[in-house]
Amino acid sequence: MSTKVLVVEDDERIRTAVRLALENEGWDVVEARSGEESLQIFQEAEADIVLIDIMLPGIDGFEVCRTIRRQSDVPVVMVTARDDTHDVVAGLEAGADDYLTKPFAPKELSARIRALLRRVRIPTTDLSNLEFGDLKILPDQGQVIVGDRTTHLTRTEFQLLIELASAPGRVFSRDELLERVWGRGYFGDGRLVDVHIRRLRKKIEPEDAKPRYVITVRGFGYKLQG
Amino acid sequence: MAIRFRRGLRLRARVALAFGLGALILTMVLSIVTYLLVRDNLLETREQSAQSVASVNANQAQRRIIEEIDAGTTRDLLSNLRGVRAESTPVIRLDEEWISADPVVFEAPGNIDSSLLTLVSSSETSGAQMVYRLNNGTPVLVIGFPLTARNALYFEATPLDDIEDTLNALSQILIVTSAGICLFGIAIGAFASRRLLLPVEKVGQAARAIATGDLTARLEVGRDRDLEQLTDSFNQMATNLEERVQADAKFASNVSHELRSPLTTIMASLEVLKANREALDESSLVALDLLTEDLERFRQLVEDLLEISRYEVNANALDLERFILKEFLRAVAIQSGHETIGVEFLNCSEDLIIEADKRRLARVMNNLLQNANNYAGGATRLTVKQDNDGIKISVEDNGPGIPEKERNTIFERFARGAEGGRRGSGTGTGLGLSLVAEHIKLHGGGVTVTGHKDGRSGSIFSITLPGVIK
Repeated sequence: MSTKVLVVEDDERIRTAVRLALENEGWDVVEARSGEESLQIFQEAEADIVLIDIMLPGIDGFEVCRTIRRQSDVPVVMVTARDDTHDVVAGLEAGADDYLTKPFAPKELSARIRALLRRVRIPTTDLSNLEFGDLKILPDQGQVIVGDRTTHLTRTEFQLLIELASAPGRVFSRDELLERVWGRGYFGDGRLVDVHIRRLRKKIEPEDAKPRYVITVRGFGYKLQG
Repeated sequence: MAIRFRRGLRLRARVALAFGLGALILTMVLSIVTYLLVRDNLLETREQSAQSVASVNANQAQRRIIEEIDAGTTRDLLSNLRGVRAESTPVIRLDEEWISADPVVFEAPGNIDSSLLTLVSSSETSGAQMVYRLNNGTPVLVIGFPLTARNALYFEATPLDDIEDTLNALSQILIVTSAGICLFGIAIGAFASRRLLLPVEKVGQAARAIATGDLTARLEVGRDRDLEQLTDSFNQMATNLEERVQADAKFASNVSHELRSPLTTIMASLEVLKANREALDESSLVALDLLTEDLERFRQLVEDLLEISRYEVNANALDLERFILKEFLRAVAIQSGHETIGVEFLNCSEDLIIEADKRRLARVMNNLLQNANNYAGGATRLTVKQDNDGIKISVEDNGPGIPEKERNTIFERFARGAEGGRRGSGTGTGLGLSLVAEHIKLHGGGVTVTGHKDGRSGSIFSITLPGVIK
């Protein structure tokens, strides 16, 4: 069964062109013309990945993303016509795993989709030892336990945490994390890492303003404190 | 409309000086008036008393000289008239012979002013007086009376040096006081202007904040009515500016959306066509390639324009991060098709870590290296030089070079070198170098282009980034 991509885009010409290009790359494409329609189709079609344009009439892309996030971990790629920080960060904070700026090359989009669909890689050999204070990571079950409750992470958040946990105390640069989690080259966007770290902290830190586990090393990157 | 400020002294210094000058003028006028009043008063008093004494003495002399005739008695008479305190010196002319009570102090007739002598000799009964300086510098008041008998004249000289001393002392005191008050005035002026300029300073701070991009900076509305107008109009201006900038930013983002959406469609459609190349005939393939090439150029142009419009609305902040320079330069070199070029560190370690906005710097380096590709057959050398806490990165090529007169204008928008247009594949947008300049300026650095020192053709583009080594 081939991978199903849900494309949410109100501009018919873009939608059609993107569908043709993605089909050429070998993906199955389902189209949605509006936010409302996308939520309905999402329920029925069981998409493997969702591509959402931010500027939609009615329910906008951020809201669609938040709604989908409440129900599923499906990877979401936001598409924005503006690359100013506000839109990008808002999209990522709404729960998107990655973003693309119009105009994008379909090959680039395919590469992003492939990176997001990759199964979570677990780099560490010693799986039993992923315990940091009250934070317990269960890699094989894809679960994280903080204190006595199970916290739900998206696949990207989980991958990010696993990468940090693979070498506790070691500082990972933003580039390194971009490469390991998103499969980006050297010139990836550090905001992707920053916002995901923020999202991760909200879920696993007792106080996300004063992080206990995921520590920022200013000017260098992040580390997981054991 | 620009408001011109006088160059030279700062406003505060000028206010202080004006205060000082005002105080000086005022005290000087007061001092001069005081001095003149005191002088006239002292002289008048002295003159009156001298006049009455002299007139009494002259009468006495008149009576006596009728009886006494010889010089010896005349001398006694004079010393009698002089009195014990010897405040004045009587002089008498008797039968053309001059006798002074004290020729050392006042010698006659040598010390008598000739015009006074004439005046007194020619008058019948009334006397005359005159103030002048003796040869030894002593100021004297000389009063003379003609006596009726024996062609005699009576003079009495009163020295005024004590009055002169008093007046000298007074003038010194007045000068010192004036200077003191002048300095005090300057101090008051400096203090007052500081107080007065405090609101101006606040306006300055707010203006600086706005200039550096904080468009929300406003002045506090104070209680002072006089400043209310300034505060209000400044805040109004700031609000207008903020709205204007937001409108501009909105316009840029709308344009960006409008341009980017069709580009997305075209790029995706083109990709589909490219995937089906084998179905196209030869001329369609040529058209497809042309389309692909120009679409890329168009896309770049839109990106560059948007980047520039962001500069215009000042929506720019540096996103600083630390990275290893060598790794970075290798990555940009590879990205721009310079896989074989090495990075030469001329005077510093290859492990140099710098703190800068990586995205912007990547854009800068990419533009320079792409330029070398497009116009000069690729870069030949990539060097890094450390300069204190800054660095200088140079990209060299062996292309046709940039003529001397174009080297300054080449960093302006849409300024493409005359040579450049003809060579290479002509994919430049004419905005690349101006963006390089803008990005580098934001880092506080500069960009220059020079030729090779040894005279061969080619260019060296150098960017300087001060303060990036932490």
